[in-house]
Amino acid sequence: MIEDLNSIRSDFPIFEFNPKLVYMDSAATSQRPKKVIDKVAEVYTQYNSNVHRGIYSMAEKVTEEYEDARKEIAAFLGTSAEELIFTKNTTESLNLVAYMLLPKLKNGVITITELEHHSNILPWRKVASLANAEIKTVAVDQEGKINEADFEKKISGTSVFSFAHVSNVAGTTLNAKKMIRTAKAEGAITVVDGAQAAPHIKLNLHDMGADFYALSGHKMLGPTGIGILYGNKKLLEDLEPPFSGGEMVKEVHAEGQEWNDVPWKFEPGTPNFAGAIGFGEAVKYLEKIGMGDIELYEKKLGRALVEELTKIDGLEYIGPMENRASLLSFKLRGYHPHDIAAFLDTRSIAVRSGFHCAQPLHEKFGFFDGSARASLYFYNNMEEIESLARALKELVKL
Amino acid sequence: MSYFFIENIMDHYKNPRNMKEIKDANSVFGDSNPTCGDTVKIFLKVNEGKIDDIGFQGHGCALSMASSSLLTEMAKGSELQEALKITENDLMKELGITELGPNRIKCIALPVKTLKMAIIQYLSKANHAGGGT
Ligand SMILES: Cc1ncc(COP(=O)(O)O)c(C=O)c1O
Repeated sequence: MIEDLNSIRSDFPIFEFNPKLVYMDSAATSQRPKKVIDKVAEVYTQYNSNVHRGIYSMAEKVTEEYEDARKEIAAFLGTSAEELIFTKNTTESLNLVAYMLLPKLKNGVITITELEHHSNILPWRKVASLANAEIKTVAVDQEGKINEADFEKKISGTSVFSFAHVSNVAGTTLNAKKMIRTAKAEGAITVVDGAQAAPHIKLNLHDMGADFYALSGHKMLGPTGIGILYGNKKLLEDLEPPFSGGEMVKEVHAEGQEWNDVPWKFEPGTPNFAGAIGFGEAVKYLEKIGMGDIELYEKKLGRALVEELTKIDGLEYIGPMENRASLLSFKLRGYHPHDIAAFLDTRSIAVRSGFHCAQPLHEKFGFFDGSARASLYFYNNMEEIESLARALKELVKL
Repeated sequence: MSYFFIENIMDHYKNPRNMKEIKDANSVFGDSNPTCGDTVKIFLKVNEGKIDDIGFQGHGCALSMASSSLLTEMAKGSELQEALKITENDLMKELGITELGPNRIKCIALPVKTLKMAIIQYLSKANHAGGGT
């Protein structure tokens, strides 16, 4: 159980610096605990040097820390370390996997869902046009849940199925394991956009069975500029690296070269090693609190968010009523989402407004001006939800 | 101070001036802000180089609508060349805003840009029609 929220909050310097802040934009980027900030500073102040290059002791130290972070994150995700490619964020991970799979997509079918973030739409459009592939989109119902019949229909004959594990707008959590099983039975390679799942759900990627899984460190207490692409080892060994250069190669001769082993063959150039090491520290912190406890606590937050906000006259939201992630995208009759966010800002409440990089989904639900989105993490509490509801009621009366 | 508590802005937002279509306009121009979906369309009735009448239609946040409304008031009756000179800063001053972040300045820039385009469109049409002027 997350009992002592005060002690958790005191781990995050941002709340000390901004004592009145009610931060409800964690789906965009989370806050970071002091341990993570300190770890990044430690890299630069104590053993800064390039990884996988020098043989002097400091270079050994930084390489060890970098690879230890990979192991730490692998244990956290239920994978082996050699299956994790460091990228800069989910977007880069999804682009990378799209280009890795390009040779397999000729005249094929790519299937996504209506819940996708632009980062899980546009890379596929790009490779689809290069490979002359077709994109199919699985529909969602009025509650933002997958239309099962449409999924069954569209998955047949699919070469690559890529979907958001948790929607950043509707807050729907998909049954990843079951959908992956169905997709694989159809011979599809499966890719999961885990940007909004990894920070909040206990994952075991081997058990889930995904071929690829993308996530961002900055949404789960880590530094900015560091992300992960998990890839099934067998696939990683078979696939060609779309990008090349230093670091990712074993031997280069006047003619010909031999790529490095996985995962390094997919990490050309100097990586964001300080970010990776900081991310390792973030994962340690999450482990200490416990992902199971975080999940349970956030369920409560998600429920309270819907309960409190639906009491407000003229408020409409996207997504399911029950079983939702701890975020709510909503609109208020008579108020543009930017005006809602600007007003909440006067009450020190930070929410995002706009389309949250998921415009097709907003249009489907008739949210043509976008929405305001309150997205919570385990450092938020019930009082903050009450403050949000109170401020919105104040706005409606204005 | 947040724009929410500036009377002038809320007044223009709730009671927009010149929010109308002008049927016999001699220049109409519409534009939008792709990031937030705000839209503004400006109708101009120009007579002898002066804006005789101006109307706008649009959709968006309080800032973009209030600034559109105020802009039409500022432009009405003025020479085209004068109206072309109106900037985001002039609008902010009139509205009573001292500062705006980079994400919100776009809300004010949209009507300013749209008015400029409507005028330029009118001028280039007039040039062609005038044959030799
Ligand atoms: C579902 C989803 N996918 C992808 C992304 C992209 O993440 P990033 O901006 O870290 O690449 C986000 C975050 O904005 C997201 O919510």
